[in-house]
Amino acid sequence: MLTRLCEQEMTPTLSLFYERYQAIVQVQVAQPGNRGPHLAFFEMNEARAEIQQLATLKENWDGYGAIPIQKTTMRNAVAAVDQVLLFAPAPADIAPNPNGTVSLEWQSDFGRAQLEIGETRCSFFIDRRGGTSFFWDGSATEVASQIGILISSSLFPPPPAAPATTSIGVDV
Amino acid sequence: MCDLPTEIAPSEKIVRAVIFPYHFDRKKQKYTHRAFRPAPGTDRLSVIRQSHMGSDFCKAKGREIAAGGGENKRYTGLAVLTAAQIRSVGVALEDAREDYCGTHTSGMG
Repeated sequence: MLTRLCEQEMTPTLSLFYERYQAIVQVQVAQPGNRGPHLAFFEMNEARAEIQQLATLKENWDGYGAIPIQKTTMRNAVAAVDQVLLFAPAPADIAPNPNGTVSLEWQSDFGRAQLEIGETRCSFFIDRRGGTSFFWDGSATEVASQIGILISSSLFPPPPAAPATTSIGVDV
Repeated sequence: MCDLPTEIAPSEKIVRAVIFPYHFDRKKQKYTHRAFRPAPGTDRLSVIRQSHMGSDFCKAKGREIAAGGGENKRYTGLAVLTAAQIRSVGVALEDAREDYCGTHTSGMG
């Protein structure tokens, strides 16, 4: 499942979304595991465990009539984490929603992003502070690593490199 | 018999019981937008008229809500908004006294 998702082409919808986003925002493509393979591995494992824990919630888990997280939703969310966290840092929050979906949320000084995954559908938005916001929705099995790139480049850009200057003192 | 006015003044305090841990951001330890997600199959949210019912009633209702479902959760506080704030984002407030006196639902107007 993980391998198939890694190898598959982006769907036209997500591809179009990505192209439009690239046209407006300078997307800096990080390399997979640029945070270090061990860190990415542990973040993924932690996120997977949290999602699996959510799937144990029973009917009315919030007291307001929420429905349980179905196994299909859990599998979709775990597959999405496997893709997105190749490039993005671990979500600030992984949480269930009353309608049985799972939300992954990121936040930084540059804005926020949310990926919500259900049994068949998912939705994603980036709200950039003082910039362009984007929304995309599609099949819950379409979530690809490009979303991780968007999150990483929009909300967690690398710090600007220090200017390469050299001071030379001359005694005359 | 419910003798509360059906009209809601703009300054009335409307509250939503917040349930730990599901309405909380674990890292910031403050409630999130998920406290205001409606139940499945509806766009309506159950809220209470704190200005009329008082804080004790609202807290007791919050504990009752948290006790439902048997999961490991607890009532942790009230999110307070005024009727004017709720209406300012295009959300309507409707009387729902058939549920219990003092409750209203807010939904997209």
